[in-house]
Amino acid sequence: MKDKRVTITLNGRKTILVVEDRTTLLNALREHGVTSLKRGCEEGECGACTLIMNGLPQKSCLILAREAEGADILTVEGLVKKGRLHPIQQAFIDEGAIQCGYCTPGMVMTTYALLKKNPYPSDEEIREALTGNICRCTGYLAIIRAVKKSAAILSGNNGGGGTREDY
Amino acid sequence: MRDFVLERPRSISEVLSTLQRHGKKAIVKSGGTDVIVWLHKSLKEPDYIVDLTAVEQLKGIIMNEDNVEVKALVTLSEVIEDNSLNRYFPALVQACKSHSDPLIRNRATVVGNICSAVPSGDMIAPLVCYDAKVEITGTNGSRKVPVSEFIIGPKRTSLGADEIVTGIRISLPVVETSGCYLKAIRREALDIAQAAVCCTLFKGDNREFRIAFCAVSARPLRATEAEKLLNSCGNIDDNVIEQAAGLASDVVDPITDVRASREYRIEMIAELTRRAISNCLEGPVGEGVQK
Ligand SMILES: Cc1cc2nc3c(=O)[nH]c(=O)nc-3n(C[C@H](O)[C@H](O)[C@H](O)COP(=O)(O)OP(=O)(O)OC[C@H]3O[C@@H](n4cnc5c(N)ncnc54)[C@H](O)[C@@H]3O)c2cc1C
Ligand code: FES
Ligand code: FES
Repeated sequence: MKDKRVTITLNGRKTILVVEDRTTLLNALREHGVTSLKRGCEEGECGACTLIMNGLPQKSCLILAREAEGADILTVEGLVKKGRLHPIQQAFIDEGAIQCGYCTPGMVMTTYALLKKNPYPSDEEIREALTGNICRCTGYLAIIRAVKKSAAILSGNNGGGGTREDY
Repeated sequence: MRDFVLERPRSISEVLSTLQRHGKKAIVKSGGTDVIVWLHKSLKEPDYIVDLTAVEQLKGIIMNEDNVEVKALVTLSEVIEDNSLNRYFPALVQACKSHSDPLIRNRATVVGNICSAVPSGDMIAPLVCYDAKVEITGTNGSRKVPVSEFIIGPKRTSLGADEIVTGIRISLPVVETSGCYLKAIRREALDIAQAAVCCTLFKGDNREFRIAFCAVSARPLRATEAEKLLNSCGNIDDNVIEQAAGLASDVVDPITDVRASREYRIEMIAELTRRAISNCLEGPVGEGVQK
């Protein structure tokens, strides 16, 4: 029965989800309108459902909604500020790192978490960080370029763009 | 996914009374990276899930004077980022890094891995090499068992229905050590081992090698004969390493499945053992605690 209330902070806003015990965080958030989270494999393999929970990137198909009680959750919807795309999103577009787009929200969130922790990742570290996110279209090279471009922009190393503090 | 009741106890005593109430109708869950997949695939259909993630007492890595406690909810990522564990137990850290991917590692626990007790579980061999003790609590009190006795067969442990694992405890080495975990896999991430070898070397006056395997036996297994040879001979040259690798591959008893054939696994054990011994002899040396 759908009778349990879960209080979370979703993209900075206090939010109440009404769920069943068996509802996964992925399904609860999608029903709430957070459709950037994709239901790919529901077995933890693909990464299309990646979000950031309490600062850590996680696969939301492996989390029960009620476990998120009190958690701080960030999804792609929360990266857009006043209608302006986040530099990571823009970099994915500019580098042609999006084809069908199914993996993109997950890729963007994993990238966001990586760059928070490690603003200047090496190619090796980028590849390692993205191993849990599968893309069936791009062949990954454009994605890796997009991550490097995001890192450069966010660290202010982009010839006058925004600085890290803006995001 | 079939419906179930989710219980979220707040303390160990609440966990135990909940388990006592529901008996065999309940499954315990930590990170859920096995349990939730089983539920999705209807491999298990419990009436109750007892989620441990709200139990504060089960969190944290605690360094004591001569041992370390890795509590039940410690994730693989926490192990990888812990400086002390890197210093004392490099083979455990390597095994954690070889497990799944960075996102899953933010949830999957070390204890959940040994409780699942699948022969390909990456935590088993390093915990056998470091002689970790599994700490168990139930309605009838607490007990401790070595990992090698805790796992009694594929997907089977000595845990009673009213018991949980509260953590594992490992003695800190008192001498310099080195160690490594080498794994044969088909792709670099998100794949389960075809075979793996964990090797640790405790230096000092009585040199001690320990070698254990992954995915090649029903129960945790050590290469006792190979260890004896390495520990007793003075100079370890290529010839000795070759012999030890042979002794190691003699004791494993793998199955053929979708990931690899029995023959391939046996070959890989010899090769990985060879490399693991050399790595330990040449590899960077971790400190022991000063006594
Ligand atoms: C995409 C993917 C990739 C994976 N890759 C790997 C890999 O490379 N190597 C590998 O070894 N495994 C892998 N796994 C399996 C899984 O991630 C691990 O076994 C993990 O360590 C289990 O930990 P958990 O906390 O998620 O366990 P859970 O799913 O919470 O529990 C696992 C089992 O342990 C029991 N249990 C958990 N905690 C306790 C406790 N404190 N007391 C008593 N019983 C308990 C549960 O009842 C259940 O039977 C993978 C899984 C997925 C989904
Ligand atoms: S839908 Fe969660 S990992 Fe594929
Ligand atoms: S763009 Fe299609 S899966 Fe990545």
